[in-house]
Amino acid sequence: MTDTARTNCEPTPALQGVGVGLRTPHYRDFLHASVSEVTPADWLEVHSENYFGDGGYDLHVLQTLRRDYPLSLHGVGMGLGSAQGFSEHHISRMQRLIERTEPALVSEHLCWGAIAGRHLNDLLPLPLMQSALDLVCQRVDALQTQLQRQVLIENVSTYLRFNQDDMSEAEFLAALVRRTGCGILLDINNLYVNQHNHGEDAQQALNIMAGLPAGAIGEIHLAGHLQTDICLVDDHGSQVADPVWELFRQAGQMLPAGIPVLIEWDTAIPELPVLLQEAQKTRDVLAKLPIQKRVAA
Amino acid sequence: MTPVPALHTLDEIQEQFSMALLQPASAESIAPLFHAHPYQDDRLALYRGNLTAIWTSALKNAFPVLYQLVGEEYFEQVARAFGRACPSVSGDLNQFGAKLPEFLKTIPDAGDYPYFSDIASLEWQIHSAYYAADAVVVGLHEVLQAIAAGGQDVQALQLDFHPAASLYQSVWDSVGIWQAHHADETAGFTEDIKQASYALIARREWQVEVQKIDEPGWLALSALQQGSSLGEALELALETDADFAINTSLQSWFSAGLFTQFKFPEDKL
Repeated sequence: MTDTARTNCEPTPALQGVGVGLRTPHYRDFLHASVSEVTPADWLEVHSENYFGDGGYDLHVLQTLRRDYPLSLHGVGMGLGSAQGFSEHHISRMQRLIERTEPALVSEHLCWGAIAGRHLNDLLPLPLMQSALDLVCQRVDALQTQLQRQVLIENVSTYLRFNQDDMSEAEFLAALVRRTGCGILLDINNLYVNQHNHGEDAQQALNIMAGLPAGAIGEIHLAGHLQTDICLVDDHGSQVADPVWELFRQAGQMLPAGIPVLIEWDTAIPELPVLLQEAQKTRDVLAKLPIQKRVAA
Repeated sequence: MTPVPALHTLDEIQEQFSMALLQPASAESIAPLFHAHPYQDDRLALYRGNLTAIWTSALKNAFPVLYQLVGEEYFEQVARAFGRACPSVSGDLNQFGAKLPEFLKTIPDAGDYPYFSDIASLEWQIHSAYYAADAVVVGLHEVLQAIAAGGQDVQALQLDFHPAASLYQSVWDSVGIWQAHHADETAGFTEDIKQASYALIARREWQVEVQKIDEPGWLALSALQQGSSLGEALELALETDADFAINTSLQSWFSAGLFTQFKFPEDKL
């Protein structure tokens, strides 16, 4: 099964530069400003499920902006690691959206989100067990075969880890890449959040990522998190934190050049210029890396 | 002898995790599954809090007027009770809430606020209209042009509803309450809610519009929606109200964007 999936999948299409997450409060800015006014967004990413409707305004906006911006579809509701309650219907909705918007990238999360008869609509922590790896490999294989394209899988923030974990998340993702030919969406903030929450070594995760074949990391995410007494919460509600920028710099020096980077912001969404400034800061950070090591050059 | 910790399947772990989120009392039994951490319970509670927040925000998005009517605290209670009783069944949160109108009839306060369920029905129809398929809207002038050119019998006209269009009826003045709160977030209650109300819901230029109609209009449109001819439909309206304003009604139905296609049965012959 793995060989079929690998040959069916195109290499990761090249999105260039730094994108931002498109959210409803910024529709007007993007629709009414000329592209040159908002050029600091090189491409846009949306949460796929928000555009699963048969029609309507959101889809209209997405299809309109798609004429000016390359697009990435980022799924938040598939739950690839759900042992029960996994939905084929969800995949067909995804397939329809792909046909409607022709995205450059399609991504999902390494998580679960449903049991039989109930969706929990959250990115829940996957026990990093061998049996979970087998299940997710099978799901990613089937998904890539049905969509006829490579899918990127993102590492997630978690607040709990399981005693039955057989491997680290980075090891899990590396095995997934080897077995299915999928790519990785590397969220630097999530690496940092998990390092803080579980004492996991983010540097070691980066080492594993750097050891993967060229092209395996198809996208990088940057976002803000919330500090609480209990743990760091991945709320995407603020600017990227300094230690996350530092980890991003390290990633930039270890990973191949040209990986597209996204600024995500999902709660307490600010005015668009704030996002665009974060995107510009990303470019500035990248520009200061040693010349041959620039991610998203 | 130290007991060997029991191994669980992925399925079992996810089932137990879900129970710990939905029934806080069962959280203790899941504790041994996690890497021990001093804040373990609080961290599990974070996921539990997320679940309620997700339910609340999805429902608030679909039922904004109900939210205004009942206030944040009560709305969150309803969201929590609804989320537990009527599981979300899709990874697409825009699907969550279809059963809220039915659920509202079963809550303990239902007797005091019997129209909440009807308000919720109206809001779910609006929500569904927002995401419905796009389709060309037929204008009245196009129909009149076709009749002028082809000489068909206007009485035989049949009209297909736009995918975003639907009809609404309530034994309460839910439409009036909805309109007052939709226009003004601080609106009070209408004086007399004990009167039936009717509306058509349609989408033009991406915006969903709710238009209050009267009973004869509702009867005629219901008949049209079920495939009756215009002649038969208007007959129903005229039986209820001999002065039913045919021209004005037709104009307002068409300009609301209610119809996407028209045909005359003889077209098929």
